[in-house]
Amino acid sequence: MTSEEAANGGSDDRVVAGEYVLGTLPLDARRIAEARIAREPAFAALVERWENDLSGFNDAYEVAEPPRHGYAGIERRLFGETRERRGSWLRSLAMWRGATAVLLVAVVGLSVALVGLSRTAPEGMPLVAHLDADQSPIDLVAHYRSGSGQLTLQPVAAGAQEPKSLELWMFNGQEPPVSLGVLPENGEGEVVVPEEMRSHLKAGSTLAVSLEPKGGSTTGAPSGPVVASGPAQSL
Amino acid sequence: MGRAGADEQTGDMIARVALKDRSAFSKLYTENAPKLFGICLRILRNRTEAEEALQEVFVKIWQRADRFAPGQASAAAWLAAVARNHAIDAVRARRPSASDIDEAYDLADEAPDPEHVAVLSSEGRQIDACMEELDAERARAVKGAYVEGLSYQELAERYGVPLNTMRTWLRRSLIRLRECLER
Repeated sequence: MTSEEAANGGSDDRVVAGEYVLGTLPLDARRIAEARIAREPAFAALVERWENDLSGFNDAYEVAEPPRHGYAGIERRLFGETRERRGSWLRSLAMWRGATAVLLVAVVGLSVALVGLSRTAPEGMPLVAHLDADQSPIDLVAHYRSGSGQLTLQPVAAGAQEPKSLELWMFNGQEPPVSLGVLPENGEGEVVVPEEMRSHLKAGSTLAVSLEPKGGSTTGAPSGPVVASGPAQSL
Repeated sequence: MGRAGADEQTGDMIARVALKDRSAFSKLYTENAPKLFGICLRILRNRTEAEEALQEVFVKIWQRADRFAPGQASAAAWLAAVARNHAIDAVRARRPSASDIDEAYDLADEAPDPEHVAVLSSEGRQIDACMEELDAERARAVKGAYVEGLSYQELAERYGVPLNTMRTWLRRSLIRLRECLER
């Protein structure tokens, strides 16, 4: 791609990473960029490069005296009563990445084998894990039954407890997004693509998962935040 | 102590925070909260929101300290990025803008950048030299976007140009900056 094409709205990742660091992107595009930072080391490196290159601009920020009880508030948030509710291992990055990986695997319709959990669970003992990450708009509650090996993932909006659904979307170029269905709340994560859609789903299509009201978007287009997206590639 | 030495010390503190050292966290707050609060205030332009944001920024710093990679990034730059990203997310959530991310637009009649005007006092940093290669108005728009967290819409209004023109300015400027920085 030439520089001219990129300025015309092409997807030069150097520019997208620069726009993210500059801060000009709308919120949903920022979320997509953040999902890519978590998943694509090459893109994350571009962002980090911009952050370092532009950090000289930080001299323009003047220091300001923070609020008197600011630190106490932070301590309360981090080490106060909420600490009991969310164990530190649950919020570890590795767990979150694992959950993201599970979702992505589910999106492409592969079966998921979570052998790690079954090793630590006493036979027949149900396990529950609350998976969260601070920048993610969703938390996941995972329920695991070691007897049946069944793992269910239930998405909930971060901070709220009302159940949500994850909906899978297909983007082709400039065409409006097309729903491929709502992901079932069991670990299988399999979606049967409607027959009339199959010819449209090809290498170059972008798949995205958005957080929607339970049962799926009511508008026919993504109405909640995009939690993951990526291009479809030929294997 | 020089800037580099101070940054190294900040980096060590972040590493200790990654190991959940609360005294290091407290020291990190004492030394860096004024700068990060300045960032939140400048972008959010509202004291109550900035106070709330500062708390959330330090919660994130505690939770994500293990992602800081010393040697790859400056510690001060990393802390500032956490604060800027949080404040920009908050300001975007408050004032949602149109989500026409990849709308195509025409650049054909765009003249090449006419002249290179100095917009920043140079401290020998590469970014300053590269900013001087941009048209002065565009360089100001780039820096305004960064420092004040302005959206394309707000920048377009400030400079009295259509939204797409502003987006093109900034994208072209980013490409030019990247090419200059890689020279």
